[in-house]
Amino acid sequence: MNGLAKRARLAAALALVLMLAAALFLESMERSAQEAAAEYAVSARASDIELLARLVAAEASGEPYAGQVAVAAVVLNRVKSSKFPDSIPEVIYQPGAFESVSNGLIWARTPSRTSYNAARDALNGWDPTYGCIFFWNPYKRVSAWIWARPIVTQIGRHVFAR
Amino acid sequence: MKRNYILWLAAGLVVALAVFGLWSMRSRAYSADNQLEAGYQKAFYNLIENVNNVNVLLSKALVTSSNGQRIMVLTSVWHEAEKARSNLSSLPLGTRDMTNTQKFFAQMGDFSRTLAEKIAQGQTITQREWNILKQFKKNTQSLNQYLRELSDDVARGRVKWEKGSFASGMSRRIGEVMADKFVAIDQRLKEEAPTIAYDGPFSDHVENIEPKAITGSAITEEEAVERGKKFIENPQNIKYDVSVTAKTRGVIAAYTLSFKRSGSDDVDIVMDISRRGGHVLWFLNSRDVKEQQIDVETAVEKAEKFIETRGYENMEATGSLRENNVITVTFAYKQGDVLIYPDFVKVKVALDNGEVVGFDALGYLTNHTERTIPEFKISQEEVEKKFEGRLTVSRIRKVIIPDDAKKETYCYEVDGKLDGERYLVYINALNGREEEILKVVETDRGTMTM
Repeated sequence: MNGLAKRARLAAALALVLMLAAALFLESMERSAQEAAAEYAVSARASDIELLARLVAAEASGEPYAGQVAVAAVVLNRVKSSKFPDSIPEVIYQPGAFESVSNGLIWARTPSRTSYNAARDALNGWDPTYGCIFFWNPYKRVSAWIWARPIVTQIGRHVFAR
Repeated sequence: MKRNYILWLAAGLVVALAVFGLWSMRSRAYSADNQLEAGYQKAFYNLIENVNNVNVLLSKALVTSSNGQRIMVLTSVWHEAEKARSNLSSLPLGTRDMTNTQKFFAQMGDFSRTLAEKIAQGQTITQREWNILKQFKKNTQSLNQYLRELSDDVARGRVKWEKGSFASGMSRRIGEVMADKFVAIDQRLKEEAPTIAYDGPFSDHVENIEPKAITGSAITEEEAVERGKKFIENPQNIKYDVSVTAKTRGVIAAYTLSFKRSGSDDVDIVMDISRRGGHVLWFLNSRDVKEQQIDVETAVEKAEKFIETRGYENMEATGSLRENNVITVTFAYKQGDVLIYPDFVKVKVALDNGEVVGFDALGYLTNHTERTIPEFKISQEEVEKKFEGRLTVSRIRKVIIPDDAKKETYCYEVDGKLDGERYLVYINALNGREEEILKVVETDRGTMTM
C-alpha cells in the first residue's frame, strides 16, 4: 500500500521533470530559431544602411543634415519608382547615375556618424524631397533635360526634382 | 670614359623601366576596358533576348484557352520584364534620360503580374485589359526591331558607347554614339506606349494622389515660425533663431524652417510646415545623442504624450525600432475598433533625455479622413477557422491596409505563430481573400516586418 503510493509519487515526479525538460528544450529551439531570423533581418538592413551611408558621405558630406537625408531619400525613391532599377545596389551602381561612383569617391571616403544617421532617417521614412528621384548641383554642368524636371526644393548646394 | 659608360647604362635602364611601366599600365587598363565592354555587351544581348521573350509570351497570353496557362505565361512576362529593367540599367548610357523605357518595362511586368493575380482569384479579364495586353505586344514588337538595328553596330566589334573626352573635332566625326541611339528609342517609346491605370504600384494614377488632411487657410512666414517654435519640445530651453530658409513645391507646398542655436551657424532642427493650414509635416533634430538614461517604455510614453498634445488623438503604437540611442515609434490612427495603418505618424525619441528629436506626419496628412466603415461580411470565427492547425493565433483585430495601388482594404489582421516564428496575415473582411502575409522578426532593437 505504502509502496504503491511511493511509486506513484515517484512516477508523477519523473513525468513532471520530463515535461519540464521537454518544455525547456522546445523553448530553446524556438529561441534559437528566432535569433537566427533576427540576425538575418538585421544584417539585411545593415547592408542597406552601409551602402546608403557611403553614398551620402561621397555625394553630400559638407551639406546640411537635411540635404544628406534628402540624398539618401532620392536613392530610396528611385528604388520605389518605375523609372529606375528596383534595389539599392542596382540604383547606386547604375552606370553614370552618381558621380561619386564614376570617380571612386564612394569607396575612398569613410562615412561619418552623421552619414549613418542620415541613411537611417531616410530608411525610417523621412523624405525632405517628397518623392524626388533626381538631384544635382546647379553650379555644375548637367544634361539639359534634367532641368526640365519639376523642381521641388533646394537644400544646400543640391536641387531636388521629381 | 668609364663614368660616361655607367651614366649611359643608367639612363638606358630608366628609359626601359619607364617604357615597361607604361606598357604594363596600358595593358592593365586595356584588359579592364575589355572586361567592362564584355559586361555591357552581355547586358545588351540579354536585353534583346528579354524583349523578344516578352513579345512571344504576350502573344501566348492572348491566344491560350487555359487560365492556368495564362497565369503561368503572364508571370513569366513579369520576370522577363524585370530582367529587361535590370539589363537596361547596366548599360553605360551616362546621365541620359532612359526613364520612359524603364517605366515601360516596369509597368508591363507589374500589369501582367496583377492580371495573373486577378485570374488566380477567379476574376475575368476586361476588354480594356485585353487591349492593354495587345498594345504591349505591339510596343515590344517595335522595340525589338529598334534594338535589332542597333545590334548590327554591336556585331561589328567594340561599341562606341560614349563620345571620347578628347578633342571635340575628333569626336564629332564619330557622329551619333550608341548611348544617343538609345535615347532616340526612349523618345519613340514615349510616344508609342500607353498611359495605363490598374491596381498596381506603377499605375499612372498612383503618382497623383491629393493629400486629404491638409485643411485650413494659407499662413504667412511669420505664422509658420511661431507654429514651428511651439511645436518642438525644448527640455533644455535652448535659444533658437528660427527662420524660413526655403519654400518647397512637393505634393504639399511648405515652408522649410531652420532652427539655429543663437550665435551658431549650424542648423540643429529642420522643419517643414504646410503653407495651407500650417500643419507640421516633419522635423528632424540632428543633435548628438548621448548615453542612454531612460528606458524604452518611458520613451514610447513620451512619444505618445507628444503627439497627443499636438492634436493627434486616438493613435495606437504599432511598432518601434531602436538604433543607437534613438528609438523610432510608429503610431496608427484608430477609428472605433478599426486600426487604420495608412494614417500613420512616426516619432523619434532620444534616449538620453527623452526629447522628441524627429517627427513625420506625411502619411497621416496624406491619407487621414473619417471613413464610413462598411459592415464586415466575414466573421472573426470564419477567419479563425481558416488557420486551424496551421497557425497558433494569438490575436485578431480589424484593420485597414493600403494595397499596392494605395487603395484601402478592410481586413482582419491575424497575429500568430508557427514553429516559434511570428506572422501577420491579412484576410479581406469583405470577401475573405488573403491579401498579404508579413513575417515578423523580433530583435532586441524592435520589430521588423518583411
